[in-house]
Amino acid sequence: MQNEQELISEAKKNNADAFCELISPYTGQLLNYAFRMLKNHEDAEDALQEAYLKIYNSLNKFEGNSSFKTWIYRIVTNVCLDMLRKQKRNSTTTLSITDEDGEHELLLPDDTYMPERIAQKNAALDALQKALSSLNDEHRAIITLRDIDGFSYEEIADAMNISLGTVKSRISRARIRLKELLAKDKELFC
Amino acid sequence: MKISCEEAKQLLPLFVDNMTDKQESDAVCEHLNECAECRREYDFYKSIIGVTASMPSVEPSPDFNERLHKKLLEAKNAKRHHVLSSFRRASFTVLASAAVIALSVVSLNVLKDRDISDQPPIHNTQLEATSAPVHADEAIISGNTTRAAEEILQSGALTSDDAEESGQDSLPNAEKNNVLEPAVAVENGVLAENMETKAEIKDNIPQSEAAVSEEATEKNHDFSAKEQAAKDKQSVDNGVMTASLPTSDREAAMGGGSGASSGGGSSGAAVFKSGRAAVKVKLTNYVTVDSASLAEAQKILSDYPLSGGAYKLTTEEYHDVLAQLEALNASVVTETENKTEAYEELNARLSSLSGAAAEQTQKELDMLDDETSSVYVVLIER
Repeated sequence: MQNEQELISEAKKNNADAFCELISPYTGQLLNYAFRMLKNHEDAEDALQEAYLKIYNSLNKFEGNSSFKTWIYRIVTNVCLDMLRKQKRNSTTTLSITDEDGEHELLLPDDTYMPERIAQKNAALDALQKALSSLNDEHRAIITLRDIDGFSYEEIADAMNISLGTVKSRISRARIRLKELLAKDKELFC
Repeated sequence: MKISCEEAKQLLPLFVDNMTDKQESDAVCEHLNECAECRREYDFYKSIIGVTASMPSVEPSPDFNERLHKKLLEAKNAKRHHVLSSFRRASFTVLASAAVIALSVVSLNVLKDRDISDQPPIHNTQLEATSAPVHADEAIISGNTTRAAEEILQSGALTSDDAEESGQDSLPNAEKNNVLEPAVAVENGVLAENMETKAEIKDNIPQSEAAVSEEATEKNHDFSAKEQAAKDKQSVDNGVMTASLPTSDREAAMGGGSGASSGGGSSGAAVFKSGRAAVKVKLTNYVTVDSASLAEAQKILSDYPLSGGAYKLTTEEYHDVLAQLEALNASVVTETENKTEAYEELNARLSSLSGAAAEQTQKELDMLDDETSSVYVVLIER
């Protein structure tokens, strides 16, 4: 089995198989990251595929100044944030609108992978999921990177292309906001 | 150093990560030893972080890798096509240029010779040699043209011009480079070919993404393939484009045009420009609103009867409602985008500042960040 550097070199030569092997160890984590950001499994997969395509087509620009992991996370982060800006969606409330010419079906988001369904058994997780969804996009991203994906502050700065100072202030504000949102459910956590 | 509860609470979010400096850490530790309330707050943070870390994960769908591999092969073939096409065009351009220059040289020499003597023109073999197929790496005709051709050969593959990969780009601009651009200096006659190639690539790559997006959309929209085609045709014929996500890729694939719009509301039998009767399609629309904006959206809909979870409207009322929701959306979106842009401009400046100036800028950033976090937006239609 080739190491990451060898796979990067091979993938740079347009070797699609090498590229798939290169990104395979990251797919699970990246998918979950995109899922936390976009709150929808289908969108998360779309975003990840789009990001992978971008990574594949721009691999020659990766010079190794940062780690491969933070580099690809940066691309995935930007794709997710772009999608969010285009979708402009921050919630899950759905209205159905019909007109007299035909019946419009009520569209329910695909909830097969929805955390709400999974978290029904766990009230704390449920409350946390709702609170995370209420954070703004950048706060949600940083909490996910830090507390779910275990990134260091330096890695977060690299992945989000922000200064270390901004990482600190943003994490601080995100956590304070999260704590405020969960204040009414405090007994579930302590 | 003794600190107040308020100061301790400000430091706790970073203290739990051991990201406060020594002086701050010592002060917080001392305070926690003495203050039960702040200790409870510290425990709360730790617990939230613990639960966050244990959030269940999701798995990729069974065909994720297969779809990705297909896209990669399409991208690979598109690159190869571009390089070969560019090389063919470059070779032709070099050949054509060589022939023109050679002819010019011959013509000049002929004229020159005629001016001073009756000698015959330059031998044909010279013309033949220079009009033979010219390899880009051998031609020494025009420095500019040769360099362009060499670069096409050497570039090997397209590279995305997306600056986000080099960490230079700010977030709102990251979306602008959805199209691959040839990594070749374009000059003179080569420019037209490269622009044409760029249009080809623009069509190839986004189409594959749009195709996947369409497939994914069908899961939710329950369209048959025929209905989808008819819907798209109808939407286009009506001058309205129903957007699948992401909007900019859709625009790229379509060669520009409006983004998400109120393309809903099927009508009865419409007739296409071709004269064929439209297939009556069953459209599926829903509107997702943010919980904070829900009250405003419901106010807009409050005039209409609600039954079984659905608002019943006539087509005219439906379009009117969507227009109002769009206006609500636009005002909220604009505010968010303006502040996000302002944040990123300031953030870019931060790295070059130090001391008091950096602190002041960070405060402004914090304020903007806080303001954008309280702004919600409304999705009009999907």
